[in-house]
Amino acid sequence: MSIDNVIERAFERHESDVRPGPGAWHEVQRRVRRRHRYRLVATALGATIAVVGAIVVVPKIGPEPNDRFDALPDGWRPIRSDQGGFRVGFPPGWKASDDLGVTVGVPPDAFSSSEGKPLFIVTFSIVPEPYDRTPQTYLFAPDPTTVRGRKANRYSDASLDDTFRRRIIYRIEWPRLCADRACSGAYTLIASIVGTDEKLWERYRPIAERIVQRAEPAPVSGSSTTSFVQAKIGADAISMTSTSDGLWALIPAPGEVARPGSLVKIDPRTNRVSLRLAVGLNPKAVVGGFGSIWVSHGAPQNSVWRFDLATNKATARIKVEDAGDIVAGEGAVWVVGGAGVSVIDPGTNRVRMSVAVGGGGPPRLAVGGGYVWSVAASGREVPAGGRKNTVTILDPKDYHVIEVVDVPAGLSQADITFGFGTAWVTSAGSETPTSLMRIEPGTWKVTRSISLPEAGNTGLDLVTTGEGFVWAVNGRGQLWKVDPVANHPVGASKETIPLTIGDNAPIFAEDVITGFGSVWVASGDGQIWRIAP
Amino acid sequence: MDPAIAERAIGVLEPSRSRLDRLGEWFSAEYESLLRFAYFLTGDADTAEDLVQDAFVRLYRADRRIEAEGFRPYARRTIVNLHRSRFRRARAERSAMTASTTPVTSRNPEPVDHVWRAILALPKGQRACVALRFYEHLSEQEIADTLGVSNGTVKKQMHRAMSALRESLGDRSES
Repeated sequence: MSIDNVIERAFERHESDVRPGPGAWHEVQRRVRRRHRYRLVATALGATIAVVGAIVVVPKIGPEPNDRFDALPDGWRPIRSDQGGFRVGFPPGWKASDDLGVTVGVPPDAFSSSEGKPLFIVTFSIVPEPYDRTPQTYLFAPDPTTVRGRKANRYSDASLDDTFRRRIIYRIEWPRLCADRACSGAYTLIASIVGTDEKLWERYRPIAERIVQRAEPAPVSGSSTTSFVQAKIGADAISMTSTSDGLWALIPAPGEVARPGSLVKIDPRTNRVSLRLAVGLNPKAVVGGFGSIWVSHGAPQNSVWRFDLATNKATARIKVEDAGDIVAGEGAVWVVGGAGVSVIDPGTNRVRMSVAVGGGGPPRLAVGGGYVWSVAASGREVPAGGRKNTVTILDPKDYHVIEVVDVPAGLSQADITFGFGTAWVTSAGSETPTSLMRIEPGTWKVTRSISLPEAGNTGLDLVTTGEGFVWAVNGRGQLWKVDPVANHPVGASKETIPLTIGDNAPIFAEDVITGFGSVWVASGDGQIWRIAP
Repeated sequence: MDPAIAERAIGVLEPSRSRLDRLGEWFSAEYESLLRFAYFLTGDADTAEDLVQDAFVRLYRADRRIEAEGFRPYARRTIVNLHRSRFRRARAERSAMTASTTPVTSRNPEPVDHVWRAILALPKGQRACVALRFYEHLSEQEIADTLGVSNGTVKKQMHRAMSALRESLGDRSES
């Protein structure tokens, strides 16, 4: 029986698992009534606010632009205001790769509402010119952001600075918006400020108007997390490696495991695929080393293929059961397979031996500092007699396990890399705060845990080092840049803003590497993102 | 107050009778089947029931879209979207996605067969694709439309799901 039939039958067998509860229709009607009344109330409130806005805001902001925008710096052209807000054109020469920040200066008394309510709602939108006021033209229309409550939406960040001047910076991730569009100066930023309460609005209207007047561009300097996307390459890669003349990306066959995958070489000068090689079924990982590219394959291929870099031909196929992650260094190629790690001799293309490593899930490997490092997060099930989340350190001279270090990882996968003289391990985060951990060779314990507070509970899936930093990617495809000396994430504000990878977040990134002056992320949405560090 | 005016005012607070009647017809015809679909999507019977009831609330006002798309496709898409937005709201994200693949409520029958266990262990996105393909018997394009993603994404999700299922089931599927 084919697997399709097996699955169909499983669904049929379990159709009776669930049946409508008693009173289901009654419950639906109750919810319909509740929602209906809620809509009535919301509509009435919305209409009231709109009327107040129309009466109070529009006449005061005035139709003539020049009498309202004198304070704007050079390069920012005032545009006729409407909709209870103001509009500012992007300065000439503003590029899609530039980040954009807007600083709204807020006087101290703007927040002194004794009623404890937000005074203003600030909304930013980006529209293409000519502006026709239809909602469909909005490129960017975030949820309203409350000034007082410091509530930021996903595209921006609102914070108060140390001097208590209550400066609010809204950062708009411009590259995200314009990645696929030829963005130019023909776009307009709209900032709208609306009072949330009629009486409060009357009292604070002059303040709100001053806020509007003080709007100014605030390009962000020294930010790493607003890294620029240099290129996006159409390759649905699951693993990458770099050699001296190119980036190699491993691409499984779309649709099914029973078709061969491919290995592509990307020219870093053109960001284009310059070579495509066929690999076997179910390719898993790729690494460069010993003048070759090595590709591991899971079942049913169960092998590691070696491609000669000089001829681009497969020169060896080495049997390794259910091969997984692969690394090269310390005189051998190390590949996850079977019950542990297999050691391939690059001189003979034979497996020297296999070493059992701890943990329950398929391990990830790293080489560095004179050792081979393996991390395995157990997932939901701890193997009988096994330890849950461990880093196993192997001595490459005699293949013995030197130490097994327990790490506080969580549910899903963990990753490991070596750089700056230390091993870096990602935590999966469900049981502990999401963090990046260091294990120094010789200490054999977690010597430092670097918290990435905005990573949430999604866990860090991938880590690599290069270009002077450690790079970590979490389960939402967000990229952090971590200073290995300061042991701190690098960002534009106290609370680091990560760069979100992928056009349709959340995307689960597949791999991250560094090379050719860039960070490369296989974004999981069929593209490799090249990012300036 | 004039009783007629009062009655009209109260009437405004009530949903339209004709709409409710039509919703009732849809409910009778499709509720149970959609409930099963939601169950296959969520892996949890209580969540499924809550989801489908919320979907019917949305369907109450969606005349034009239902006319344009047909009841079943639109209802399916509504359930998928509600499921997705709840998932996002809860910030459950990836780790919870793994965690929630096992039914937790007492109403859920314990998965006893290995095929079912393997299906429930799939990540949400992959399970949605599998449910739409093998339970709803949709084409790749229809799955993409329902999930609001590209064909390529569906292909990839199906590929991963089938790989995972083959791996989980081993050669048992051949027997």
